Amino acid sequence: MEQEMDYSHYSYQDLLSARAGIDVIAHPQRTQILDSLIAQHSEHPSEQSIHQAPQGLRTVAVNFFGKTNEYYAIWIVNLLLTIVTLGIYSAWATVRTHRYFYANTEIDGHRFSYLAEPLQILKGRIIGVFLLAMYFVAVAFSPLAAGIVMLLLFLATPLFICMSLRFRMRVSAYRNIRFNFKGRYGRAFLVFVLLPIMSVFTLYLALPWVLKKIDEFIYSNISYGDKTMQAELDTGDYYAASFGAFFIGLALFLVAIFGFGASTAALSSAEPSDKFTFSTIMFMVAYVFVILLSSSFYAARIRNHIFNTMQLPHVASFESDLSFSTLVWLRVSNFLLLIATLGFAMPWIKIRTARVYAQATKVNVLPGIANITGQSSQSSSAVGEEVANLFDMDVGLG
Amino acid sequence: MTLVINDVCFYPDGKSQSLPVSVSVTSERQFCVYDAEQNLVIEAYLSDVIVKDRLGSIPREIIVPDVGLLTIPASAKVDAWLTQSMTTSTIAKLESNTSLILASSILVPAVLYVFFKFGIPNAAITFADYVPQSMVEIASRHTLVALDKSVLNESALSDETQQQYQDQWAQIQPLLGSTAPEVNIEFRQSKTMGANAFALPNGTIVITDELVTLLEHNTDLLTAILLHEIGHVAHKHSMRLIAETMATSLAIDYFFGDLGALIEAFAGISNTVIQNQFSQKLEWEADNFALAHIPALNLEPDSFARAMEKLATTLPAESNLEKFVQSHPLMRERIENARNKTKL
Repeated sequence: MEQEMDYSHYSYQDLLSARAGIDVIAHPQRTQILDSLIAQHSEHPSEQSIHQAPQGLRTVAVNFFGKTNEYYAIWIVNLLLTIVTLGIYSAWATVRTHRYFYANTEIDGHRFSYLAEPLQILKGRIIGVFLLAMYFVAVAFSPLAAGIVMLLLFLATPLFICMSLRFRMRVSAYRNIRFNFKGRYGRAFLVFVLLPIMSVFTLYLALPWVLKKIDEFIYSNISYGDKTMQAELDTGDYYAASFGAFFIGLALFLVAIFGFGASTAALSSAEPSDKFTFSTIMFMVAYVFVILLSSSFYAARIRNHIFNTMQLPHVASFESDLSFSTLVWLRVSNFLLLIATLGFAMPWIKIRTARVYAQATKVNVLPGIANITGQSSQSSSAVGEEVANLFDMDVGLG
Repeated sequence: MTLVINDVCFYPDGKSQSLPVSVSVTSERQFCVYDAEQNLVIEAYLSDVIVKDRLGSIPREIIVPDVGLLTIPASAKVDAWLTQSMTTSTIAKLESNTSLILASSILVPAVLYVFFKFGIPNAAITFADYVPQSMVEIASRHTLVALDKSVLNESALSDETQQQYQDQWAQIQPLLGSTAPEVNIEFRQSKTMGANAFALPNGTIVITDELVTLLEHNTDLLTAILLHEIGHVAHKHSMRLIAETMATSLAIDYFFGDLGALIEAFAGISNTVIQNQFSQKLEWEADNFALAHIPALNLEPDSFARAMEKLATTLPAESNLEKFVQSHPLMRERIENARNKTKL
């Protein structure tokens, strides 16, 4: 039994130093009492709190402030501009969309910023379109050429992934400090190309481990200012998530097949051609739902695992409790909304998705948050890196 | 008149620290930033700083180069201050213009419809005309080699029979008019393809033994099918289909690119449906080419319809919904069309 401590005679400073010195794991109750006393104290700076580093640990929610009506206006106008400029404007539209979502995401009173220049995006898009067109042309004109192009693209994939991650991180900032990605091509080639190929020879039994390696490569190479993210992921969790997803998929698939047998038999009076089409369509619907359920199981579990494991030492750790049912409901309703509105629900879908992910996430802010140094969002030294910027792009069409 | 803006957050460059500050607008072009103790932190001209565009109701950002970043909660008076003195943001104005938002909501689907329905197909016709003949040759030869190595075998028809057909078909070429393409007919045997015929863009037309057997060596029926394939070659359908497929995939990726996996599945389905519409349209064109030339070749008027009927027996029964999932039009509609067009 933990002995109750009497903090009534403590001054505000005493409380803070007691909280800073306490062993959180050994004395959870005392920690809790201290935290609430600090929060209620008259000297507790409520207004300025976001500007001060927490004394011990501050658990904060992730807030998302985006509004559907506001984003609908941005989306539809930018879409029209993209169409009338034959796609050129899409780079500007992408920047505005990202800025909107970043700046509406708040952690501990500070918003994120998206700093990419539209021309950087446009450059990546032109290359993406060029590569895709090259591939199409090769496929159309010669199977041999298609094979060569496919092999080259396959080998270049890790390079594109590294470039895109680096770009995306470098244009993201929080508290005026940029993120970065330091993954190397050699390592990327190993995790994105060699290991997946090797997993084929284990009859995909090693695939969950490969997926873990991929995530580890991505998350442990992210840095924020001068701090690097640590993500020592657990292989067991990947096996649990993968096998769970696989068996859910298999079970649903079997149920669906038996269901078909029954439903097509019931329709035996109908025209045979109608029966054929009916079962084809039912099969497509069932396929979508099987994929949806099993991928949601994997996605929710792995997201929670990654967030609960990774941390920026002395700066922040994360918590995620995204439940399977929440994610399934989100995805099913998004899909149905999109079809029912012929695509017009897209802004709503994006806003509600961002909100669900934000609500499932918490951040534990540590005192180190105020001591990060790094490249600010617009320092003049960034100009000196123009050469590096030449290869800074998000290759692809997205 | 001085405007004072509170609740501003200042992030000095290079550190993750933040300060609560207030901004006081001293003149039209100048402003000062004070910290909580009213010490002057920054004094700057608006012309020396970067003001980020207004976007929805996100906080306004001002970058003071080499000093730091200011974020200001969005409000009408802040927007007014930053708008009057800076270049006005046209895009932000468009995004908050109600009539434009409403107009866009109608224009976007309308323009996309016209684009997919007319823009891409017409562009594809132009594209097909500009593909150099050498590329067409290479494409056709490589494709035939690949097919020969995979699904096609040498024809089991005797050389004599083959020569007979060749001689017969050599005579129809002049009857098709001067614009008709040169064709080169080949026979192949293929279990995988079954009764089938297909045209490569350089004018090579492959007919399977299975088709010859199905049509019981009836020259009129085989010629009708051949005419359909010549139609594909004459209208440069292969190149058009390539261009259309490419343009559609690119456009769909481009406009609806950054989506989640499921939504991508939706985009994939629309892509397939659109492509099937294209290829069905091309099949109709080829059918009508064949039907238009049947009288000139003195074939039995219903040759094409009969050939289709025989082909239909090898396929599973079809229903109306299949229109969307098939690359070819429904057999029964094709037969109906063939009968209607040749009756007159």
